[in-house]
Amino acid sequence: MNGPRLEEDVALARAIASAALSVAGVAHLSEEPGGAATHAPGESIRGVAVRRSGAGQLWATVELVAEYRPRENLRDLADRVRRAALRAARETVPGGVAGVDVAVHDVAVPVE
Amino acid sequence: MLHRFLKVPVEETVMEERMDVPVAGMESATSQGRTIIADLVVAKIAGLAAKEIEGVHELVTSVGETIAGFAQRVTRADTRGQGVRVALEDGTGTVDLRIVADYGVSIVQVADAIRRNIINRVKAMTGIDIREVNIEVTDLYFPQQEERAEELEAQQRRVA
Repeated sequence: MNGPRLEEDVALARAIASAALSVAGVAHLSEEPGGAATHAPGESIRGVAVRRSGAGQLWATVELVAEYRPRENLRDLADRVRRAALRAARETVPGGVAGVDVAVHDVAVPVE
Repeated sequence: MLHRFLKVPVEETVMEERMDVPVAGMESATSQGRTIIADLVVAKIAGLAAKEIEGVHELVTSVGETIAGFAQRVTRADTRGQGVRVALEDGTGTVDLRIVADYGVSIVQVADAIRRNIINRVKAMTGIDIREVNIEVTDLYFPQQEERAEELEAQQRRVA
């Protein structure tokens, strides 16, 4: 991977992380050891990874912890995260990313 | 459509290089990416659903080898899903749990309420159909006994 691509991947990961966190129902991004993360000089974005296929197609993974909301479907939440991430990616790089895998790793009970 | 991704490879995804997901879970695919719900999530929803029922004092942990517990050890995630064992296969599943019930409640009614709440919550939150909920009541909780024990402890502290 060359220099400019790393910068682009980091910018994408940052934009996607911020978009995912802004979706209601997302408690935080997953910080599991060995999980998805994007590492760069002086910074790492946990819970988001960007990768390229052989054809140069961009693809992102978002791993998150959802809030425990008994009436909310986590697959709908994942779809909202995917749409937000796709939008953020389009605004960050031309063409955006081809797709976003969303993994719900855990649920957290909101502290009252 | 749900797939058990540790066993069934999803072939309709457009990705050329698949990234391994380090957790066991249920996956569904769209043209713009997969959605994965980890087993731990289902175990935790089932546990929270059980605790919502009046008459359940607590869940009993360390039931032995559990799928969710195994996933936790592999990923070093927290252990709040413990006390609930979940086995998932192709969009349906089985839940096993052990509870301590409050003394004085109808265990049959409490167990029935737990069963229905777990099925409803897991279906609403994940789309997964739980076909079977096995509940073992391992002990009863007596509130008065607990109070007396606390009083006794407080007395001992005063004496010491």
